Amino acid sequence: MTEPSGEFTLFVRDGDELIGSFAPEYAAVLRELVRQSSDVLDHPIDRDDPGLARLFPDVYPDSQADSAELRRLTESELRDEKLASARLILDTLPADGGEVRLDDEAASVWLRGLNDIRLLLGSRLEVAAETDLAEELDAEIRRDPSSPRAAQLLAYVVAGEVQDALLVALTGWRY
Amino acid sequence: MTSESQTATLPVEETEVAERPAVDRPWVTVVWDDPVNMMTYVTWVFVKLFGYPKPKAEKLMLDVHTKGRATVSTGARERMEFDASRLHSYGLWATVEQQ
Repeated sequence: MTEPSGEFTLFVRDGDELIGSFAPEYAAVLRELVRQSSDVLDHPIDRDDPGLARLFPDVYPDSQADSAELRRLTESELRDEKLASARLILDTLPADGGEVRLDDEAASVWLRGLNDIRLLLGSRLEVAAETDLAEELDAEIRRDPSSPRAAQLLAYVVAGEVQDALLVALTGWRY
Repeated sequence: MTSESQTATLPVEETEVAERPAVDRPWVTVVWDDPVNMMTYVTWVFVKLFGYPKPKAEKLMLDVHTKGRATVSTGARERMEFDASRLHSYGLWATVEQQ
């Protein structure tokens, strides 16, 4: 797991609502990420893709048959839920940035959606327990600031910051 | 308290316990560690899905983090499958096994 930074104030609570303030570039990065994961989810699940295998894990690692049988019953609902989370983020996050207002239920859906895109991206970037993201990002930017990997690393960091900030605002938990 | 006849049956009972038929063994939902999920997010999911008090949820999260896995619920097989599906909808890596 990852230690949260816990010092991000992108979201704040105001009574029953959680209010996010998004710079245009943050909104753009996040919306693009959500769109990409929606595209991936909106197709039959390719279980050879490590990111999708992580989002839709086998319930019985030692029995392909039992896992497949259960998947037959649960996979389409799980996929619909994940697509709905992505849709809610796109519906509530203005394309050019600005204010996002969420009730607690919508915030929960956002957290799930953000987590899904981090899992997909983290798996594509081969993030490991010992990965130092800041260091990776610096190294990649030094190597080639316009590389797709640099953009993906930055997007991964942004998605993590937003998730962390929303979780702190939602729960009120301090570290 | 123990009569001779009961004492005599004990070894048989022990054998029965040791070889308890698979159908009697409880099913469990296991959550596995992964390098992406945030620690606080995992704690929050345990509180939200299972209604665990935060200290219990935090302990389970730390077990996942340090030991690589933790049993988060125990019960009938179908209920464990339901729990695993709900955990998947929150992006946690959950599996079901028999103890």
